[in-house]
Amino acid sequence: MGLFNFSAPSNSSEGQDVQILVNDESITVPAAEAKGMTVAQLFTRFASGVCDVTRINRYVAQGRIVSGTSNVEEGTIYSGAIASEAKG
Amino acid sequence: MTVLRTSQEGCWELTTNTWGTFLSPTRDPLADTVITQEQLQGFELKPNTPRIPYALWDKWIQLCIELTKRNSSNLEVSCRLLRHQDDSSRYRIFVPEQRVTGVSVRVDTFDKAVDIETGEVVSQWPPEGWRPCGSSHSHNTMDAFFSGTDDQYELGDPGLHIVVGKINVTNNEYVLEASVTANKRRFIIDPNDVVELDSDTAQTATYHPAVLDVITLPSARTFNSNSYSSAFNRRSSTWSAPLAYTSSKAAVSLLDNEMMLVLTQVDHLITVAKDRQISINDVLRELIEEIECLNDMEDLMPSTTDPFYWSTY
Repeated sequence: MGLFNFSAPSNSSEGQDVQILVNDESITVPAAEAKGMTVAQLFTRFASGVCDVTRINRYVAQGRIVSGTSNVEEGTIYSGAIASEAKG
Repeated sequence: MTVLRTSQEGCWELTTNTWGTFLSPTRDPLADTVITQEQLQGFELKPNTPRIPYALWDKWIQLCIELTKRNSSNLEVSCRLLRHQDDSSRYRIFVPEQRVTGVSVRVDTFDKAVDIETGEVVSQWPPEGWRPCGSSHSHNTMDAFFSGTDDQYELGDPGLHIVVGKINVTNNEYVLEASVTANKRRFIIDPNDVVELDSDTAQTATYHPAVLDVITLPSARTFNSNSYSSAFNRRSSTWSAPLAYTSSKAAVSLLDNEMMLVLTQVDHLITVAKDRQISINDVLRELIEEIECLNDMEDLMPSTTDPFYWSTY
């Protein structure tokens, strides 16, 4: 038993928000929710609703390429570049 | 009843039946808004959205026309749209390295793309200071519409997406279908709201010829090399492997029985489409797309073993 013990969401006022950019779309993620995530995890968790995250092949933060496995830093803007396409 | 109100997943309540307890969705007692279906499905373009300038758009159209009329091949072609990150009224159009056919375009990476205006080659996408904001592709002489393949790739690529169709190479007329994709949905918009479709000046400036260097034609067409410009011939060598495959008629003849089975099924498909009054052209076009997708998957097989091919994690 004990399956249905609930907790409140993280306090979203802690720390500086993280911003995700994909094309012209922007998503703001409270620092508390991004804490402990890698960059790739951040996109998968918060950008899946707006883009196909499996087609992102590059992450950029403050003009530099960052690895998807690097840890998210609060107050940072991360942009993801979609890499490929097909048209019919 | 205790309502559990989540930040993303709506309202839930604990429900108990004779077997146990589980979560089930419930109404929000504090709900204060009614959203109609029309509102849910609707889209309002921001007023004063900067339009793609005619001089730039016309270069793209000239390329679409060129690929349509070149050797009467009716080929498709695709480009990427970008806006300056600090000034959204400044657009650029890039043509990425691509393989084209009469019904499809395949771009494996945007990391080689050519500016349609200047011929600048970008090897790391996107160019610094510019933000991808959508795409456009040509349907040559076919209708302007968004196909299943377009949906598959554009719904996950938020931005402005435009199809150029019904290209008439005699009088340079064409039809546009424009949309904005967001939230993995497509909203159809008026092309006039996002593209300057006419100009006060009558000048026509064409695309930079370097864009032709990144467009690979279908392998079968490279046989007729005399009909193509030198720019296209330079690309033909990249298709040597598929060429060897398709040119081996003797090998293919070993599959005569299997080919006959497929053609019988295609006949059946046409008969059923006629019976149900479905456009045979549409059905065959969809079939070709499916076959090309299978072919593309074959092409990609060696790449997909590389875990860094699609993603950096």
